[in-house]
Amino acid sequence: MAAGSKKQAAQENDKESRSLEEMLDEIDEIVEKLDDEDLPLDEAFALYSRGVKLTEESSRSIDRVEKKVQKLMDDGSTEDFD
Amino acid sequence: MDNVYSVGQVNKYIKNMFVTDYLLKRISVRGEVSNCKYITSGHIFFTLKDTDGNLKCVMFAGNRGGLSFRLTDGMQVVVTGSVDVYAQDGVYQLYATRIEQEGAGELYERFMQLKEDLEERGMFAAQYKQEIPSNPQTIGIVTAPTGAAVRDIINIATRRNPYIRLILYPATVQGAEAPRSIVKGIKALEKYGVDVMIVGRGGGSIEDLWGFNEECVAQAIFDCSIPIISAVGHETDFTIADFVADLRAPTPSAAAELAVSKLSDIDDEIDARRQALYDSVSALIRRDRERLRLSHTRLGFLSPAYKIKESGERLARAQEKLHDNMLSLIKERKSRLGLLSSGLEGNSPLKKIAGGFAYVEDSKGKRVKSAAQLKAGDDINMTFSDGKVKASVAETIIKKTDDQ
Repeated sequence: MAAGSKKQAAQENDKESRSLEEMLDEIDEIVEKLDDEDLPLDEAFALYSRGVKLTEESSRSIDRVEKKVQKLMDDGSTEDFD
Repeated sequence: MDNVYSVGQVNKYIKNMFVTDYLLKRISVRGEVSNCKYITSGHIFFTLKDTDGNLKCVMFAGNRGGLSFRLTDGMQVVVTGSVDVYAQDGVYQLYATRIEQEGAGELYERFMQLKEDLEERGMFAAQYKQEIPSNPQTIGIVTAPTGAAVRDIINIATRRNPYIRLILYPATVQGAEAPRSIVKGIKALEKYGVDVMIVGRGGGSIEDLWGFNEECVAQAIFDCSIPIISAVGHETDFTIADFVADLRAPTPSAAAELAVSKLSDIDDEIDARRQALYDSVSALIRRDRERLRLSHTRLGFLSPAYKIKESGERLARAQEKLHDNMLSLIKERKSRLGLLSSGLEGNSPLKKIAGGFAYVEDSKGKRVKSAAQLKAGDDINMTFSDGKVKASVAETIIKKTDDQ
């Protein structure tokens, strides 16, 4: 559907900014790999530091700035609502 | 005076006239609702009025099934029921069993027609429903800028995530302008670019909600590339928009809840993963530390140092045992020697002659055991415990025994 192609396009444009969901999914995969008892420690550390980096990125990706509700005008401009 | 009646008799007589009247038994009356009162017992009292007059009406709680909306003053309705006398007050009133909004039937027909039509065209099909993003940053809202709906959405959305970006398209959601305005709003927000849209309004009559039953609105929702949550009226209101939307929310408040994930939930999710990472890697470190400890122990047993230490310990143990055994051997001999020497002492001849006895020998050193061995003039040697005496025998006196 259109939404799908749009999402894809967004990813191609900006490979750095991945959605929170994607990052959380990757962390889950890392945790799963780390649960393998035969995993060598050096690989485990590499995975772990990647995972920690992702949690930090996830946390950072949450925009923590309060915003005013915007009113969208017919000419496409916005102004504060209220 | 003749023919004077009681109030009760008159009311009863009139009531009987009403009851036996065929038309009044089942009658539908058109008018505008006024003086509408819902009382706690569930009965509804109201007055139907038109330009020519008023008609008192009541709908008892038991007949409430015949009313599918909330009756309010000013509504144009058709009330069906029976007209009867309330003898207590001497008034007649319409006892309603069914109340419909004027024109509702016709609108309902149109609604069903369009629903069937769009359904046939596949516009409600699940395959076209877009997934609502789980963590949207920007929410578009198409609703009236005044009224409870927009306030509810803003309040709930910002309560769940104070950092969410809300873009409102102030739409007309009631009256003839509504469909065009709603469509414009959807298109404007799509162009602006939001992650998800809430399209809706608060509760109202079927006419009030009608904008959301128009085909152009349905088409705009269907064509929109951004997921749309519909939020029209109350839980019980269903509109065409609800069927076409990617997700139907029962109310505007519920739409905000469905669209905006709780920030604390997201934080919790990240924290849970951070913990899971830490736990997993800690387990691996524990595993390797344990392995290292085991290897270290095993290696220690095999090392020359361990062997030397072990031999040294063995030697020390042997030395100690040797020493102990020697000591006990000496001790044993010592005590045996003690026993033996005390035995020897008891048997010494010197001991026998202590206390006044002496050992007697003749001059040749032969032991003298009896007086008869000696005669006067013999030399003898006597040994005492403290020394010797040389003596000569003066006389021997032999004891004579009776039996000799």
